[in-house]
Amino acid sequence: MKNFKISILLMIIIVSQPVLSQIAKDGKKAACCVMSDKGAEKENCTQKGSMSPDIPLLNQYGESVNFQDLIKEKVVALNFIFTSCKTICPPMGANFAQLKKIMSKRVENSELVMLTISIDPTTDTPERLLEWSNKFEAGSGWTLLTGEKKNVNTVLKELEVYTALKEEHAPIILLGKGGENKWIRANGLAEPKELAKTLNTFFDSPTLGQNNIKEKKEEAFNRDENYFTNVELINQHGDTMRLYTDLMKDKVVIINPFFSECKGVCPLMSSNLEKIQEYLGDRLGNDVHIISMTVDYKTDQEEVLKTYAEAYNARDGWYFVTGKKENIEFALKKLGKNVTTREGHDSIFLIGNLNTKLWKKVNGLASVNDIIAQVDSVVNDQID
Amino acid sequence: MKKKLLSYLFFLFFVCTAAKKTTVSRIDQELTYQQKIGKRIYTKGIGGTNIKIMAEMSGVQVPATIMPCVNCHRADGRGNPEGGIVPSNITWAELTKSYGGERLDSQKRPPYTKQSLRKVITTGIDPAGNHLNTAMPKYNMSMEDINNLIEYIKILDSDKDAGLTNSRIELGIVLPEKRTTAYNKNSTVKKLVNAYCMAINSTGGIYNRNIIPHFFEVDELQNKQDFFMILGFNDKRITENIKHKNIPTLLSFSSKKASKGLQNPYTFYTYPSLTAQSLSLVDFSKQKKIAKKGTKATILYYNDPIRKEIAEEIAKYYFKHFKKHPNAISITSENIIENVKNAQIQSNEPIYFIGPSGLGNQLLLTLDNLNKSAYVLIPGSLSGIDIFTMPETFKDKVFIGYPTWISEQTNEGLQAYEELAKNYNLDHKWRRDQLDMLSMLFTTEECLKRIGRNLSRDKFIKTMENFFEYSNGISPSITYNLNKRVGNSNVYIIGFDTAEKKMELITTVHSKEQ
Ligand code: HEC
Repeated sequence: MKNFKISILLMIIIVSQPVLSQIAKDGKKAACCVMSDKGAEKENCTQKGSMSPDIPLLNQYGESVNFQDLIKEKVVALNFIFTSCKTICPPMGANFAQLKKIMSKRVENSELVMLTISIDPTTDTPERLLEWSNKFEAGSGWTLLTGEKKNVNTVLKELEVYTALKEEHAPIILLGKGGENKWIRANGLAEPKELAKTLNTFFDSPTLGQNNIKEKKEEAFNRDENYFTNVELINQHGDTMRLYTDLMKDKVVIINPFFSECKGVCPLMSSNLEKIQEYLGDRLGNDVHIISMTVDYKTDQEEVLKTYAEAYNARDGWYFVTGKKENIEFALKKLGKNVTTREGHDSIFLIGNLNTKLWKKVNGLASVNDIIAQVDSVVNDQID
Repeated sequence: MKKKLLSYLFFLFFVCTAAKKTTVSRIDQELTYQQKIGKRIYTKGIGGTNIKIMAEMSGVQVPATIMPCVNCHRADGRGNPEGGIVPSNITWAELTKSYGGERLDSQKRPPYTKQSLRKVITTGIDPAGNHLNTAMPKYNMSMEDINNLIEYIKILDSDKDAGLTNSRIELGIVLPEKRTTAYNKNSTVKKLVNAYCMAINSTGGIYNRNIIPHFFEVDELQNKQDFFMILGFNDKRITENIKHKNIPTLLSFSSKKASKGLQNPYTFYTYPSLTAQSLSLVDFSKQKKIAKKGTKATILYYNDPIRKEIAEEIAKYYFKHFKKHPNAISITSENIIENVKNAQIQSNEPIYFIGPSGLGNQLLLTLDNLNKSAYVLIPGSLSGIDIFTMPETFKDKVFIGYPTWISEQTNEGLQAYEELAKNYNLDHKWRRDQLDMLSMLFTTEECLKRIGRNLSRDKFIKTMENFFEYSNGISPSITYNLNKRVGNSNVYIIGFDTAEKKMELITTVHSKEQ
């Protein structure tokens, strides 16, 4: 009995831990910047204010550099490695070198900076980083960073990629615009072609991933329907749903890619969504839609989706959608979720408010509390 | 009881005969040509045909040298999980189990055949038709190479490094002297190593493997490669002679600046290099305010290659610190008095003495006669002085830097030596060399014990890289990591108390290899 009490107590402590750390993070006003678009601006933590301005690091030639200076006003691709990492880092390095090749024009014009930060700065001397990067024969325009452990850790923490054990670091790549601290987290092992597409969105100014500009709001309204179109999809009940009018119009939407046979990240995303569904309560279906789009329309026909949806207790308002090959592929493409192989999909939730045009990209594998905070900020967004 | 005694005797015999032989027959099981090429593909990504092996992943093609199988599946085939990616166990038994296997994402597959294995390596599709996780690259190589690779995967599990069998670890010991010199240092060291091996083998060896020593001179090293690892004193030509053989090597110290793990992952040192030891004396001069900016200094060196180079290093380093070029003078027993007189040395100036030990006292006498009581700083591993006959005026003026000191030796450490000395009738001379060798043997033993039965050279290196403040009772505590290959960087500055007639530790200086 006594044991039981203790373990309950323990559980409470353990459970409350992340909540506490969440508060601490928000207090610092750093977390709000990451992954958010408009939110960042609203909470007044864009630009340098949010990140320590001077973090001295060393590049692979042993020269002192300042992290903020490196990324200021540039589009940035940023990944994390350590040189004694054998399994995932060489592939990440090769991918990064390829990404650089695809984006070579941008790199040459200094519009895009390619950065790699060592997560084992104690071991990774500049010399080691240089040797490591030489293997990939990527040429100039790729900066690898190390430095004093505390400085490197500051950067890693502010980018929210810090792990205590270096062996546990996930193959993450951050894509974003320097100085704005809005990072998209992507899988560092994803196809460089796909990563390049995402990077290009920072240059091309499409609807997604952009702050809305007040004057253009009216026009943007119609643009959405034009952009997303009413392509027909099919949900888990076999109903036909039009992408814009039935699924998105006037709603807040949470969109993720998945496929039913995916045993890696999908179950994690789906169980996060199940908890978000619970949190949303009545708002789901009325104000909010969750849209899980399959990247494997062949396997995921309505019957399969139905079973899958039931496994996560999906209620009305959480739609698992498939469709004719050309339709679902079109829809995925419009949302930036198209892939060449089903395994290549990302684990990013697109959260959008169709009324205010605020869109955020949120790591679907983050802790539920973090995601809910982001959902809230989109739901509560107002036209100003 | 009798049986035990008998087997012990047998051991002794065995060890002694093995130790006597100078040439070693190839001990590990011979790989076939195909398996050898397969092993090179597995560990280095280099094949046996002129079709370059390429690895493809997420649409990117890179040379397989960047991603050889060993990176992810490890030398033993059991997989090296990282960041949530779990490479499969690809030992032959695992791949061909009759009831099939299950991978990371619990996808099931039937047992592999040679054909389906070729397919999975080149296309990433397993015999059940499933696509492997994208973290497993697809390899493009010639048919011949893929067959070689599979021949190697078949024996992956039983393949051991050279010098290693289920019952023996072959240890190469590089002797400190040329056979032609007659100080008997070699035979003293040999006796110690044999004693140590007999002692440890008589209690079952290390994880049931006997340690078998083989002795040779550095020049004989080039055509030897069948040792699991090598121990030696100074790296003079050792590292050069075994370059590219990938044999773990533990040495006392290097003469030039010690290499870092990046340049040479295979060599470890107990102590700082001779250069670093010598430069520490310059650091000490600064600490002790013997020299400051502009202070004149003299370097007296014996003109052999090692000492000359160190004299040059000291001169450079001294200039860097004090902006004054020291006066470097080479000396011999014939010209020392003459040269010291002509050097215009003044009292309280520093002299860095790297001449032969025999000339140390001659130097002090000469200075004393000239009435110049300069500071004399001596790297103890290269040079020396006899304290008992030292002139009184040099009390507090002579300092020797050693890479270790008695304060670092524990009772257990010394006792272990004394016990060997008693039980095996070891020589009394060359005590420092014996202790240095014993220290290396202890460090090796510790590393082998930490690894356990499942031993490989690769694991030896990795385990050494995790040594943190390990104390073997003889040397100062040892720390290695991926970059650091010098176990302990301290230099112990020893001064003399002429009244008490004993040496005392003045301070320690953290030496720098860079
Ligand atoms: C970058 C890391 C990496 C490299 C390099 C690598 N593999 Fe793999 N390998 C993996 C991973 C991860 C898996 C597990 C895939 C899965 O679970 O779907 C795997 C699976 C396999 C399998 C399938 C095992 C099974 O049970 O189905 C075989 C066979 C294999 N690898 C052989 C090789 C060979 C041979 C090489 C070298 C030519 C190699 N691998 C190089 C990461 C790697």
